[in-house]
Amino acid sequence: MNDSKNLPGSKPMSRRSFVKGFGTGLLMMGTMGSGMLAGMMSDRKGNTQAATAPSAHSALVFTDALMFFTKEQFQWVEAVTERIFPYDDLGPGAKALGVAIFIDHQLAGPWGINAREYMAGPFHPGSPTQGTQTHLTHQQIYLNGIQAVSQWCQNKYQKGFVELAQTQQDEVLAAMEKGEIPILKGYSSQAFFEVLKANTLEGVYSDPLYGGNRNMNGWKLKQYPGAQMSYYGYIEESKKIDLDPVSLKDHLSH
Amino acid sequence: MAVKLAKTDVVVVGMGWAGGIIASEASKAGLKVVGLERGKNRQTSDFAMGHDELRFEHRKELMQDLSKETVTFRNNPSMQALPMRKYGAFHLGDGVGGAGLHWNGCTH
Repeated sequence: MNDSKNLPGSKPMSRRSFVKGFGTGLLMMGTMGSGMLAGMMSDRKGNTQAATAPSAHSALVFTDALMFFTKEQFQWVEAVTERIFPYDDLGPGAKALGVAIFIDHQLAGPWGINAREYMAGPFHPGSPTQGTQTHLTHQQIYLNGIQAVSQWCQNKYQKGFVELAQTQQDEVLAAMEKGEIPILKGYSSQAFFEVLKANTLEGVYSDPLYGGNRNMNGWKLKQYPGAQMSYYGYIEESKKIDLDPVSLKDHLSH
Repeated sequence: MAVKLAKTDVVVVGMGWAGGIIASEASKAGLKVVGLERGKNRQTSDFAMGHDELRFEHRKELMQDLSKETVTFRNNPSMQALPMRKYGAFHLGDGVGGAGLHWNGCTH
């Protein structure tokens, strides 16, 4: 697990250290415990062993490195997404879930250059009903957006977004959402905010293979069982069944 | 160079729900039918990672690649028609089966 507690502007760790340890995993295992379901999935055994052996959980995550952002840009995205999806008593926030790594890796891939979208000219503003008409790629939206919002923060607070207090960070996001921060001619901060919000939710809830949703904790928060191969074994049950989530990694071994 | 194929009774363009039923009924009535479809020739093995919501629902893997071809549209004649640059509510599927294949990515 990556700890990000030394960042400037990081918040007091009330419950985070608990969540980020093995508490959640052990609790989930507890509810599974003697359940008949445990025997039905071969992976369950593996999970149980992993939960009792801390070394398996603290293994290095080699994909926690940057392909697109600079470290400063990464920290900016980490701070912004944490305000969009903050940690609270219910569970971890965007930072602990790896959302900024998710976004960095998405931007480095085909989505970053809008590989499957129509990007040829001519470009006209259009009406809202005609969808986005920008010539900017997602990479360019992020780079210009981060720069413009950072500059706006410097002008208003004489600080970068990461150094701001939570209430000030929320003011900045509200101004972005209202389209009050000039980014580029023809591209509003509101559109950038929508991209950030969508990417944050994607990073929280998409399969952990993409770098977010760490330890499937985004799914556990919603008691979502993840990418179950089949519900065939449970479909006849009349009672609510709590399943441990399964990720696509498990599908590869089948 | 255009390839000239043998004459047939019916050609159905687009083998989705509608085209598939038409092709089926025309065949049952004894007509010779050719169905045309575009996109990847997908097999069952292509769906082994089908529970990937980001890849299929959000990144639209089963939909037409808009960088190659898209539609233009306007909501009334006074507007300028513009290309659909990314997917919104209207999804163009490709591959045999059409919406019967991609289900708009709603089941996960």
